[in-house]
This record gives sequence, structure tokens and C-alpha cells, in this order.
Amino acid sequence: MYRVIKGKYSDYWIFEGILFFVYHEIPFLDLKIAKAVLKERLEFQDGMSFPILCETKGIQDASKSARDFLALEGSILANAVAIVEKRIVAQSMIQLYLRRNQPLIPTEVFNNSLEAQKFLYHFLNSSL
Amino acid sequence: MKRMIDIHRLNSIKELLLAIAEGNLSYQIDRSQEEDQLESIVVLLNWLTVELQASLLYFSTFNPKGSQSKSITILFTLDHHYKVTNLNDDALTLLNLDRNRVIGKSFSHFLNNQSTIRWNEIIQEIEAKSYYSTNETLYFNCGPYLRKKYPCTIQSVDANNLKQPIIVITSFEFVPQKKLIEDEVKSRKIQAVIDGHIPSNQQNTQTRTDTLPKRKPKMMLSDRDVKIAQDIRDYILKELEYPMLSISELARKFNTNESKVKKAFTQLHNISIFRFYTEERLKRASHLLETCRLPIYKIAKKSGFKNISHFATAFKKYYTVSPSVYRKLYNKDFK
Repeated sequence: MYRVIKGKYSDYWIFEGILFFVYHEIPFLDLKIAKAVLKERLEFQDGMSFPILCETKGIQDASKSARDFLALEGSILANAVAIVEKRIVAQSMIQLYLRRNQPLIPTEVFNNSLEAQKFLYHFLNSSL
Repeated sequence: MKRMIDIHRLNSIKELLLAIAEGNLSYQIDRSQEEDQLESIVVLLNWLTVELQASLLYFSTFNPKGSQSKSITILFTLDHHYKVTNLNDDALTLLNLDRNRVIGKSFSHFLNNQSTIRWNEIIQEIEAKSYYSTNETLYFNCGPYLRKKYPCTIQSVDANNLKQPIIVITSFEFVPQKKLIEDEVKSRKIQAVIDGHIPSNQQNTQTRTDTLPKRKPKMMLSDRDVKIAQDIRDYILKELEYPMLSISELARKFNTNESKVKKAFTQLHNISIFRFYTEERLKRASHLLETCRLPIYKIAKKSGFKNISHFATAFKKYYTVSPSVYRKLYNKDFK
């Protein structure tokens, strides 16, 4: 069993060494929200690093400053990130984000959770 | 209906591409609710325009004389019914508006749907306070297809000195200096035609800007130097937890020489390598101090500091308080 923490902007829990992270409905992710999201996640992790599975289906759009912030500061205490996204438009956004911002840690986008978990299992060893 | 929406979106894409072709990167397209490839293109264009704008500003710092661009102020005044009572000429030009069609119209008339919702919230906030001031990003409609994003300052002026309170909205936009000169020359020419100084058949003669000598931009870095400076930055950020390589080691790693490493990095990022490395480690430490309960020596280690006293000194110099005081101020578990 795992305990789901409900944050202001996302829900998160740890299962088999992976941090699952699901965004709530956010019409426009700006820098202020991005900072709050990072703070919530770091408080939850309490200094420990994890591979992160991130579901972005709640996000409709994001500002450049938020994207730049997450590509840089969002790597703190993260070994790797797998983004799960099925929407066509959002996949395009993420492709541009990955190519342009080039996050500091291994980051890939998947359209299902199982594939994402398979990718993250490679980063489990360095998680603790 | 669907076909109508597609035609509207295709026209929007065309208008934005034309605006980009003219060098205008401040327009955006309003998003629709569609979930298809066309909407993907709309999003990519919107994001790409912002990225291009940021890249151009980034490189404009290489011109220390700052002659590439100038900020133009936008000013709206509204009455207590939130209708436009006045706006400056630059606002008219930048938003493609006609003064006669603007005065007396509700301010929300010029905003896109998303910003109209926010504007209605702002009105409630204004009415709840005797004095109100806020900074808010608003999207203005520019014709049927495009919108422009402006960071605005919205301020209510106290009603004590006036019969009715008024609202002042200000913003700005950077425009290329060349365009300013062209606009000025054009407007002077039009005025001269109106005043009868120039015959109207000479209106289309060459403007002064066409004969100005073309200046070569002052770019001191080659593409390769820019790439190296960018790669070194990424490398430092990826390796923050470890002691930094010396300049000579970095030069070897990136197949260049020490002086190029230092010069290219400082010029591109406007900060020395060592200072950048220290500041980024301190930023990381501050995030950890704010959010976790790890002992400070572990936070220092996770942030790439081998020596805790060195960490404490550097932290205090940057944040003006020691790491333990910072933690007490910002970490809810230590308050």
C-alpha cells in the first residue's frame, strides 16, 4: 500500500522506488505555480532522490518562464523523469520543451504509464 | 462549424507567420478547445515565437550601446465604469487600434477571453479597496486572428482628489530602433505632405533609413564559441554536486583553450564561470534548506560543497543570513 499526498497543484506517492506525480487541472502553468509545485515535491521527498513519473494531463498550457524554471530547478532530487501524456497537442508541447530546454536529467515522454515505469527502473539504483 | 473553426485557425497561423516574417515576435494566437494536429501547430508557433523573442533579446546584450531596441510605453486611462477615456498614440499603433473606435468602449473589449475573465476578477479587487495596484499579464486582441501579451501595471487613482476614481493601465514593448526611425520618417513625410511641403507624388521616394550605412552587428563570439559556452553551462549544472573542473580541465574537455573558455562564458552568460558555479550551488542549497530536514552538512554536500565552513561563508555572503537562520525563516518544519 502507498499513501497518496494531495498537494495544491498535484497528487504524489511513492511506489516501488518511483515517485508518481500527477498534476491537477491547471489551465496555465506560470512561474509562480511552477515554483510552488517544486516546493511541494521537495518537501514530500525530504532530501531523498527518486526517479519521477509525471502525468501532465491536467496542464493546458505553460509560460516560457515556467518551462525554463522546471527544466533547470526541476531536476533537483530527481534521477530521471518520465512524462506520461496521451493528448496530441500536449505531446507537441512536450516535444518542443524537451528539444529546446534540454532538461539536465534524462527525460522522456511516453503515452502510457507502463512504458514510463520500464524507463524509470533503469534509474532505481541511484535513488537512495 | 468545424470547417469554419479550421479556416479561422489557418488564417491565424498565416497572420502569425507574416508577422514573424516582418520581424514582429510579440503576437500570439488564441488557443481553441480542439485536440488535433492543427492545434499542435498553433501551440508550437506560439511557443516558438516566445523562444525566438527570448533568443534575440539574449544576443542583443552583445551590443553594449543598446541601439538595437527601445521600449515604447502603452498607456490607458479608464473611468469608474472601466471604459477607456484615453490612450496614448503608441498604444494605438502597437495594438492596431483606431482612436475613434476605442474611446468610450469597455476595456475588456480589447482583451482576449482568458484575460477578460482575469480582468473581471481585477474589477472586483479594485472595488474592494480604496487604493489598488497590481502587476498582471494581459492578452490584447489585435484584429480577428492574433493577440499580444503585455505585462501591465494596473493602478486605481484615489477618489479623494477626484470626482470619480480612475484606473491607469501601463505597459511597454521593445521595438527595433530601425523600425522607430522608419516610423518617424514615415510620419514626418505624411505630415509634410499634409502641410504641403512635399508634393504627394513624391511620397514613395526613398526614405532616410534606406540610405543609412549598414552597421555590422558587434558579435564577438563565433558560433563555435557560443556552443562551447552553452555546453559548459549545461555541464556545470549537471555536475553541481561535484567539485568543479579547473578552467584548463574544462578547456581540454571542450577542445578549446583557457582564455576562450573564460571569455566566451562571461560574454554569453554575463557572469564568470566560478561565480555561476557558486551561485547555482547556493540556489540548490537554498531549495533544500527550505524544503527538507536533512542536516546542514548533508545539504552542503548535496550542493557540491566539500567543506561546511566554506559553504556557510559563501551562503551568508550571497543570502546575507547563515544557512541555519535561512532555514528557520523559510522551512515550516523549523519555524
